[in-house]
Amino acid sequence: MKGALGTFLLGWAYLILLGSALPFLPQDWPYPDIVLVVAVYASLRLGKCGWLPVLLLGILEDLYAGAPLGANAFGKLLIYSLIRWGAEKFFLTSTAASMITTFLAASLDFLLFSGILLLLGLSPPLMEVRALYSWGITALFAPFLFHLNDRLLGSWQRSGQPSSHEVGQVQR
Amino acid sequence: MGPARSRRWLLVLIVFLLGGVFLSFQRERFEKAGILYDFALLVSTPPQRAIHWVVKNAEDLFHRYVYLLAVQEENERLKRQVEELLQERERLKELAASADRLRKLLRLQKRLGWKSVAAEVIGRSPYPYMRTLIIDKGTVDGVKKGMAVVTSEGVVGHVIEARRSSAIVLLITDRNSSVSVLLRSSRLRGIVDGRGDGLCSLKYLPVRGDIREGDEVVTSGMDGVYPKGLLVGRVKSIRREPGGFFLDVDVSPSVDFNRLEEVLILLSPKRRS
Repeated sequence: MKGALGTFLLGWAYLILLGSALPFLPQDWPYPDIVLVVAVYASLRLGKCGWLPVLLLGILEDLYAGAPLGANAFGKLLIYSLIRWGAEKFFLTSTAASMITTFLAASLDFLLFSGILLLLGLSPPLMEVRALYSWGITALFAPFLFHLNDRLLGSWQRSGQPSSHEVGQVQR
Repeated sequence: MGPARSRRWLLVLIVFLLGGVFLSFQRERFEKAGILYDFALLVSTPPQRAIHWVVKNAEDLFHRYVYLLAVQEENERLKRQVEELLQERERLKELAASADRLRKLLRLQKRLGWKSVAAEVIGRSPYPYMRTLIIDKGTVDGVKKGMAVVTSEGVVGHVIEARRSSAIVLLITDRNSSVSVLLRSSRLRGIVDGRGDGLCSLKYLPVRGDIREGDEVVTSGMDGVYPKGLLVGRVKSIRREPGGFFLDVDVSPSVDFNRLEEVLILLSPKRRS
């Protein structure tokens, strides 16, 4: 549960940082879908509570982007479930596997978002080179973010655990 | 008178005599003592010179060291001052640019005759497939869903979400944005839709319509969102599909979305008294 909470807080911080930095970058530059990377991270690294940060971050992403509320929350949750199921079957643990998984997840996310917009009677995003770049950058970003999350969450989780001395005292 | 006493008197006498001899030496006579004088000087000069050299250099070194310390301190102080002044200059340049942009917005505000509020762009959509902006004004400032957002360069978009202290603006380049427009020169009407790639499409212009590349596209005021006459963009390219009823027109937005910092949200038309 602590890992899920930490992942959510980190993901939220990433979202705010990215959203604040983007006005300084050219409009046409592709950028990663941070919540998607966090969803892949949660499905590969977190336990059963992993769905919670994914759902909350999906809702936050919808809010910040002005997308129909629930579109990303639903899409990301579906991707999370699929990857969890796939990870158990195919042992997706290496860096390359995380990148490939993220790339496939990004393309699936694009299709899901387009489908949801079509269902709502809205225009879906264009399937163009920029979308491909965005998937690629999201995939390239994955190992870096995985490493960062592991470091930050690892130290945070360790800080909450009782020391061996304290455990000894409790046992006595 | 004993012998000891007579020797003492003799010594006193000799001293007096010598004094007298020295006193009686005239200048030219003194030169006769030059050899002795030269010898004395020859012996004393080198060590004196050496001592003088050492002391003088030590003194110089000390002064230089103290001076250098002072210079170094002054140098550091001046460097810091230059750095501060450079930063101050950059800040002032930024302020001047900001003031210039705000002056333009103010002019636009007066020209439009609408109640409006200026807002700063504080964020962009973190989701790559949405073209939206986050601004720092919300319902507290009178911002509501559906309000037009403009700059002195032209139309930016409209508010799709308004919260207490912030709002989300859908850019005219987003795929779900539509603006009712007309061509400034020929007065032909059409709809400008976002394409999602930074450009817009001008739709429903008849094939035989009078249109040229570079024509200005302005709001028609028919959609109830944007006031009439605001610049949307310029015609970039025109394609005529064989057998089609309408032209395919690409419009390049007049607003440079890469340099968007302040915007104006149009709240309501001012009542004429």
